[in-house]
Amino acid sequence: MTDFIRVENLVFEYEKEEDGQRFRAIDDISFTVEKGSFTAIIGQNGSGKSTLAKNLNGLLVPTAGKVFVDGLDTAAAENIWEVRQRVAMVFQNPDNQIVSSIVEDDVAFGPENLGIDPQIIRERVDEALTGVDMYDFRKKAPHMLSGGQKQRIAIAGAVAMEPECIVFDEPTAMLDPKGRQEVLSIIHRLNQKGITAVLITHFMEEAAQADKIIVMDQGVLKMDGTPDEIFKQVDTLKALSLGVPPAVELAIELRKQGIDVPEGILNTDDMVRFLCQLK
Amino acid sequence: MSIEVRNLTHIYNEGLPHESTALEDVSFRAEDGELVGIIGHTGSGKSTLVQHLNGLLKPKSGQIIVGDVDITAEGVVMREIRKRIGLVFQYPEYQLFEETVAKDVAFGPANLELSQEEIDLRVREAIELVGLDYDKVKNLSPFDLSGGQKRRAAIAGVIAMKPEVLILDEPTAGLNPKAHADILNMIQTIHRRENNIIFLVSHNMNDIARMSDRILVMNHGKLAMQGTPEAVFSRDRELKEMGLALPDSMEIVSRLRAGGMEIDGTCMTIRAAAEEIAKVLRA
Repeated sequence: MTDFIRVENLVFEYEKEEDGQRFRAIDDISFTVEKGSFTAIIGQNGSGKSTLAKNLNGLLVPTAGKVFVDGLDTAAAENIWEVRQRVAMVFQNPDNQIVSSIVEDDVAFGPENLGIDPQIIRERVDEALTGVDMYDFRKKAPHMLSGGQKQRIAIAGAVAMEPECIVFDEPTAMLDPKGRQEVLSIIHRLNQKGITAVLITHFMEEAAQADKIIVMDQGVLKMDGTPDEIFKQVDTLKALSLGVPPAVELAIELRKQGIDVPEGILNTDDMVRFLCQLK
Repeated sequence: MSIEVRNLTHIYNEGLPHESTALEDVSFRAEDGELVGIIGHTGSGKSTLVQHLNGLLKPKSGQIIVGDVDITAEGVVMREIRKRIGLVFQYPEYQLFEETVAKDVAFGPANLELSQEEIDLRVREAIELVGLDYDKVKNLSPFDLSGGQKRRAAIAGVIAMKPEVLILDEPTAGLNPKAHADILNMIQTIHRRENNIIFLVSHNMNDIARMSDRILVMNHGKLAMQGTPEAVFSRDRELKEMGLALPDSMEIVSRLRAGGMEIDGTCMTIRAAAEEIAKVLRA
């Protein structure tokens, strides 16, 4: 696989509004995101996750170090449109990202700004709405939809730009369990179709489904590895104010009860399968 | 103190083409010292309900009796009601606005016609009760606090009013696991100290199962179930039909049962589930 995003010694500082002091939100981090992969970023509030996300599509540019998207330097002004075309973003609150009063107009907003032929926009919008199971709602008003549905509209808006990568910044934080499930399965479906996915989340079971997890703490990259490698280190995660998925927690408790549970069971499906064959 | 909701109905946009019944004939009662969890999918009427409880919305019909006052009656002084019933909205940290944490927390009590001494005392107490260090944070800008701390400061502003009923709408949304656990512990501390009625609205079934004495389940504007966590979460099929989930431990156990394991108990926590599963495997 090839690297799609390359972050090299990224430093990001900004001036705090209150006292004018410089604050280093990201402190010299490096990692890569492979084309077509699914990467989760976890870390406590204020660890620099969202600042990092905004550095991945040039919404913010590095104070020092480099971010390359598909080989393009995000700090070079002439690259900015190409970078944003390749990496789209979906944020936490769907109400802050919806601009139109009709669903399909909202999804068309991005491609319209790219100056694309109306006929092609029509096709892209229909395809994007079908892809998030919201085609039947195309004539509806977004404010009449549920949180999960609105978030899927926001995702369709990103998909209609035909990006190669979508960065999701806590897209499920405000949703009920059903909405969360809907949005997560859409993200996985898009990833399976080849879109590179970067998911920032506080839900450890969401992170467990990624190919790779990046753990941030106080602007520093603390861990970088597969879910297996990361969730093995329970004590380190707890020290970073993070947790483990329920299946991992259950494995720990079962071991205390003398049941020999192998490492590497990270999700509920695998745990249920393992326990049922023991019986 | 008690709060009693009788046959509450609320209709949005009544008489207009897009009128919708947000609450339909909802009745329940809560007593001092009770922590009542409220669950339901987005749009089920949870927020409409809690906005009635402190008089932000007026019902189409039905009553809400707080202590011995019907707050839906004509001529009720809403100021008096809002003193007694505190509502913490979702993402309350967005409502922080003062120059310092102490001033922000003092904003509510300062409107209660209390002496300056009493206000200062309440501010200190509230800040300490939410687990912040008064001397450290009092002169800080609320915007200098971390995400979890900001939320606690915002909750302190409501606690300082000493409400007899405290309503928390999704108090842990968007927090990392540690900050999340801290907020829950804080709620328990407040509850134990004040022995007030707390309504906790949440999508997190683990929290609801762990914290609640009783759960109200809202669905399409109706009160679909009410009961202890054990009773409510044992009706897993109905909950799933309403777009709701089980606590993680009960979800795992329910799937193990479906796979043929005969597991006892309600297994409301991961530890309890592990103990019951181990019993079956050892047998």
